[in-house]
Amino acid sequence: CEKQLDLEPPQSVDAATALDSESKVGSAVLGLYAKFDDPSLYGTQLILIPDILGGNGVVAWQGSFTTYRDLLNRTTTNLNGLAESTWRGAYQAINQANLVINALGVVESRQLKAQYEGEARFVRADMLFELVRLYGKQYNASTASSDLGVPISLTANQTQEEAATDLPRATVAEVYAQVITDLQAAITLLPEDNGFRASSYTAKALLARVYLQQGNRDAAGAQADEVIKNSGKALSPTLVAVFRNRNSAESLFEIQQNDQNNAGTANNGLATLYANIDQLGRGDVRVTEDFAAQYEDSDVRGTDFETFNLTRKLIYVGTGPTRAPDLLRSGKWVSYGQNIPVIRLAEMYLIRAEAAFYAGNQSAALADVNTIRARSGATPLTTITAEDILRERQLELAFEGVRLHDLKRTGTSIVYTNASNGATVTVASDSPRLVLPIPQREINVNPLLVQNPSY
Amino acid sequence: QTRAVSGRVVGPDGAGIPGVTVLEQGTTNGVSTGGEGNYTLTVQPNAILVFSSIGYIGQTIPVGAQSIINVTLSNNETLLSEAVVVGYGSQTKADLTGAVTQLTAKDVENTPVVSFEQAIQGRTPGVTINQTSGKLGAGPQIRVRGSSSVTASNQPLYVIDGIPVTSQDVSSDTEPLNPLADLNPNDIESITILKDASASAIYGSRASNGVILVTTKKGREGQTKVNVGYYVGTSTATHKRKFLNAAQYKELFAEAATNVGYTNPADAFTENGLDYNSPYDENWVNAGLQRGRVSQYDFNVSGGDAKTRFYLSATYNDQKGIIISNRYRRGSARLNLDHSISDKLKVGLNLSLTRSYNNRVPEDNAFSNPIQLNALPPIQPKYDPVTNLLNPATLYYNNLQDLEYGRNTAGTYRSFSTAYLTYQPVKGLSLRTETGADFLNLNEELYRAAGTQDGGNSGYGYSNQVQVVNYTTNNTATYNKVLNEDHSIEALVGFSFQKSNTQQTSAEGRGFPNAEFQKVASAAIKTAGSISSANDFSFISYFGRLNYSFRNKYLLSGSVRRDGSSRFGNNNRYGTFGAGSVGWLITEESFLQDNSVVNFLKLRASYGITGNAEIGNYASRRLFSAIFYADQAGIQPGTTVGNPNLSWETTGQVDVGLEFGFLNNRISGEVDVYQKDTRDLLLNRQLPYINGYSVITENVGNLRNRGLEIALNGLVIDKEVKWNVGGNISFNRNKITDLVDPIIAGGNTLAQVREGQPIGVFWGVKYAGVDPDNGDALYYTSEGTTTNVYSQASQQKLGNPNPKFTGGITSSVTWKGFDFSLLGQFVYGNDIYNTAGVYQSVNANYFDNQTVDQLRRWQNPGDVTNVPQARLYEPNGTQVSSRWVTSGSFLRGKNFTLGYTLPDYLMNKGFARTARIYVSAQNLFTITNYDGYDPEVNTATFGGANYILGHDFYTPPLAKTLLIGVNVGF
Repeated sequence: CEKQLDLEPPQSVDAATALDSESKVGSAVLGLYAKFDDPSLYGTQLILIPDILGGNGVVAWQGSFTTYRDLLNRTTTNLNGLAESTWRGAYQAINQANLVINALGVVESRQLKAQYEGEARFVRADMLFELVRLYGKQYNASTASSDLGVPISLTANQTQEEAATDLPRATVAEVYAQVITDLQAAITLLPEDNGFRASSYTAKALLARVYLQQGNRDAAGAQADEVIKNSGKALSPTLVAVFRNRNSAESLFEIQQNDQNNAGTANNGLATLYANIDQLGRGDVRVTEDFAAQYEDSDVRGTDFETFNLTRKLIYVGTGPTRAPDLLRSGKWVSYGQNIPVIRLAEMYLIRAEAAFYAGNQSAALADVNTIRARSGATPLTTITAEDILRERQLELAFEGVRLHDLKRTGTSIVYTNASNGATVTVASDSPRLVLPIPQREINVNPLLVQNPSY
Repeated sequence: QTRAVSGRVVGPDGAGIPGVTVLEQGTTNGVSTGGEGNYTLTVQPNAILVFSSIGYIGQTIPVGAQSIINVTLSNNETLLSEAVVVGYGSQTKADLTGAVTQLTAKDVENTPVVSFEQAIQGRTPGVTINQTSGKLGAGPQIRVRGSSSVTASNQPLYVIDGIPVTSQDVSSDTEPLNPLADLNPNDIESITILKDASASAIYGSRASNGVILVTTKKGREGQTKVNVGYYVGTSTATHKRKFLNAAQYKELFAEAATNVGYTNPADAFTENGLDYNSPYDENWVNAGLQRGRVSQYDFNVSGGDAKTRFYLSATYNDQKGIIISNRYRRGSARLNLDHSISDKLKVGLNLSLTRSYNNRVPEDNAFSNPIQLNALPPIQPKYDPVTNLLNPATLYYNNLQDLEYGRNTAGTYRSFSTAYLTYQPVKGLSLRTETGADFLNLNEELYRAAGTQDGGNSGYGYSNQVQVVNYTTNNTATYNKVLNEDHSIEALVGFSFQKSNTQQTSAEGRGFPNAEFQKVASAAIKTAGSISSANDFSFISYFGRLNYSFRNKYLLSGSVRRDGSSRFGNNNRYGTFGAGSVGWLITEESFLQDNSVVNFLKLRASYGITGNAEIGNYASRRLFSAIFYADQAGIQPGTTVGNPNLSWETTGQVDVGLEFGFLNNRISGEVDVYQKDTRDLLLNRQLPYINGYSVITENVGNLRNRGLEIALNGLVIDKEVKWNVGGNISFNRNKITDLVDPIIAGGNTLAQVREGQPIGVFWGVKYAGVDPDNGDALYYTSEGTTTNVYSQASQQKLGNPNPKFTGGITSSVTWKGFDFSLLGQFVYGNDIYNTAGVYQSVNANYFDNQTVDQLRRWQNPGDVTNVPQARLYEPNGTQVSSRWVTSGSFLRGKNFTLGYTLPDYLMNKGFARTARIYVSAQNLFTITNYDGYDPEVNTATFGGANYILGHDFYTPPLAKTLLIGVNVGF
């Protein structure tokens, strides 16, 4: 009769045995990638938050979610649900990476063991990097060792005590150091080709991004150069193909989605919030005409003011019935089950260009920028400035979550025209309102955390 | 030495009463009277006979030397001596030492409700019932003596005919469906609510939230009775909130646009697809509501002979709701059968089958919720003037399209069944074994054609099958003995086992050829909602109870239960619970016997320990589950940390009660005071996210409920006109006495759980009105000054969603064939937070239509108002704050019924036995200061956590129903 009380959960397994074999650890590694697709991470928010938070002049928010509207208006409070869920999602992924690293002892194949560790370290590094640039101040070599970053958790938390441990915020410098350590390890551990998963070149590409964000352009350029030359990747013939097809030749890291498993079709998902093609998508984010006007007529990344079915360009006119007609939408996010490119080769060209430019090699910078422009039909530049490179990044990587981070690292103010009264508004790139609040819930349960200024 | 006694039991009118229980006191030796009220019983010398029947005042008569005892029972308006159902048995009310409320069939019959809990609102001291929403079949919120838990369930345990039934929602929607709606209210004989530990501890680890025992009707020996009933009625919303009309809307939003710099305000309209020059003035509030209709056909037959008794019923209930598209239909049949194989051996079977079909309303937070239509601008028409089809180009989704191009239904098959066998091997000893099964099958179907919001461009379909098999066996032995005439003992021991298994299979698809294809079979893509899953739980229990009475004057009772549950951690699987109580029937003392004023006075006190085990089935475990990455599957740890020490939460409750009857019981009542201390709360304690987990279910924290309940009943006039007045009032104070960290519900809610505060306290930024100089919204800082910078405001207490007191008023008048009854319900002192205020009452911050009170916005320096200046897109008073907290007190005319029973002389000519026609009004009026739709509100859309109380979010109001009905007996 006692046995009647021993009921096993039918669709879960006990943690004690969940990671006790090579194949089970392999499942947990795959789970790491699946975590990335969560709407709180690359499924939506790690891409949309930086585009909305620094988005004045580029995008407008038309949706009913006040969380995004508050980001755009810089009126976010410490209760903002997006700030909370991204924080939560990132740390869940970090702990799962730690659990994988902790369980590697049962992986017998040396090759798989290295790969799994590399993947886990890549995930951990990527999450810490995303967290520190959203929740901490922009890396500044002179203050980074005192500026508050985010807590660094490197233990595989399993018990009640471990799960309840309070950690303080590490400094921005410490977080970057951990990110770089993990990525350098991942580069040596990961295979050069890892299917659609993170390879050593993915880790190098991310490291290029990290160095760039840190202002270490030389190191960033070196990593980018290495990726361009040796990864075997090539620019896709058209940019639109990168977003319509899966795993294009240009893709260095891409979140895999399909119609069954994706970040959402109702309240989450990039297509849900961006798209406005009849009943597909809510059309919450629209592209401003000012931004679209920055593309030349010949540039297919711009707009021809046609609807999605007719357009030959990447910005189309929405047709959803509940939104005003004639509004512009990004053609990068148009189907619920599409893959989400996170790092692609074009960014490496632009990083290398920036590094070359600051190293004084203008012709190399010009060549790389023109490579990107030429692909989309934009007129090649004949001379180049730092602004040109930054602007090219905005044009090429628009709606892919880079805008806010670029503004911050280059100290570029947000300058835009108030749509209603024509007044010019300027927001300094170091405005505390461009940093997300530490979720109030988190401060309540972990008194070691210090809130960011202005919240 | 035994002797036979016979006689006839008649009512005040001299007619025989069938079905009266005639019991030899202190024994189980008894019979029921036959159709003419006759009985025969063989009794011991010096026996005392107890005559009892629901609705009559019982009598106790010593047999002495008599062999014929004829009894006239008077109508009982006070119910002091009725038989009260208790756990695994029954007792007379006079002998009870626990706090128990019992309601009878007439309280729930023929009311236009979906489930019986809605009918007993206002009649239950110590028990608050909140319907939470006007959606038909919505899950009500019931609290017996306050909230005993923070994150485990607070709903009572439901036991129907001895079997704990599935009362948790099993539907896939965020908002609960009420599984108790599958019980036909007209089949209910009695509802007993066990409130204190003395009454409930026999249910051990699941008793802390109170226990509701429902007993269905049984047949009685005598002439076969046939009853046929029908009612039909119409319903409307109790109240509709008022929103701006087109002219007001244009005025306010044009001003809002001008205030932020638009030189031509019409541009702001155009940007959002609105036409400033629109000729339309649509009332979108009305578009989401409709006139409802209710009807019920009811048929039952009961009767039997000395060997076999039966009750057979069939009912069909059809309710068209007040929310557009909402309709609930239920057909049910029941057969309750009792058979005496011999004097010692009885068997019985209760069998019911219910089919219900609910055309549902989407959850409050869905754009497809018809109440959300109130957000649509009045300048946009319902129908497109060109196509004459529903206008698809509205600011938010015109969800009327969902009705035209889709459906959302929940169909249930349900059977509550019990079979029993009782055997009396020797006098005084009764062995009973019963097995009950509760089968629940739910089939949800959702379809949205292409072109609707959820349907997208290719259509969306979802189908969900849930099967819950929940079975229980109870095995008890009861022994009754009277020693030396003075000492009466009843002892009970028992064993019980329960197991519940839930299986779910669902399919979801997109990509339908056209709107004529609606099953997932026709969908090109099967999406992520296609799953199959299961879960189960089990309980093993041993229990016992001893009741002792000395000269029917001093009462002593004790009970104990040992429960084991699959839900708890390996280290704490079993728990022992128990209670003791004493009672003193003061009126049995010589100094009060035959007192003409005080004829009943009983003092009782109890203390006991009960538990609460209503948590997730695997909360003690740390688990990994599957997670998907495109077409591959990985695993991930859960977000809760396992806790092998997890155990039930424990409530110690002390209760002191006084029951009284004065002036021949014309004035009677009951007063109880109690204190419930819950410790080792089953708490989902929030963990720092940084370690990868969100919560741990732990036994930490304490809370307390203390309260006072008063119930009074008076027979004011007892002549040809009988006038009865009653009322009850309950005060409960809840306080969290120990908590690790505050729990913050978050989102747009104000709900928190904080030490020293009542559960669900509203906590946040306090709104300070408007700066008369510039129209800025102001908030209070921690220094008590005001600021227009939201982030500088301080967090503080903003309100309390728990009422100070609740209660009801009843009155009935009968005169000749006429009967009139009224039931009023009141709730006082609670606050409501309109979570939708950030959209609908924000001085035209965005283009959602605004409530009319927003016209009082600040316009010019010096204006004194509490509505800030209208500023389109700019946050001026728009953040979550106390701005939308209002009082939720109300007094409701719950039920008024006027009936007329045709006189006997008319009946004698026809073939019918009785006939009554009646008119009835449900929720006729509501007096409240709440400015939303209906103050009886508690949206479940924010996850349905126990501590999110008193939140409104586009929640539909209740229905006001008028009906006319007839009952004919043959």
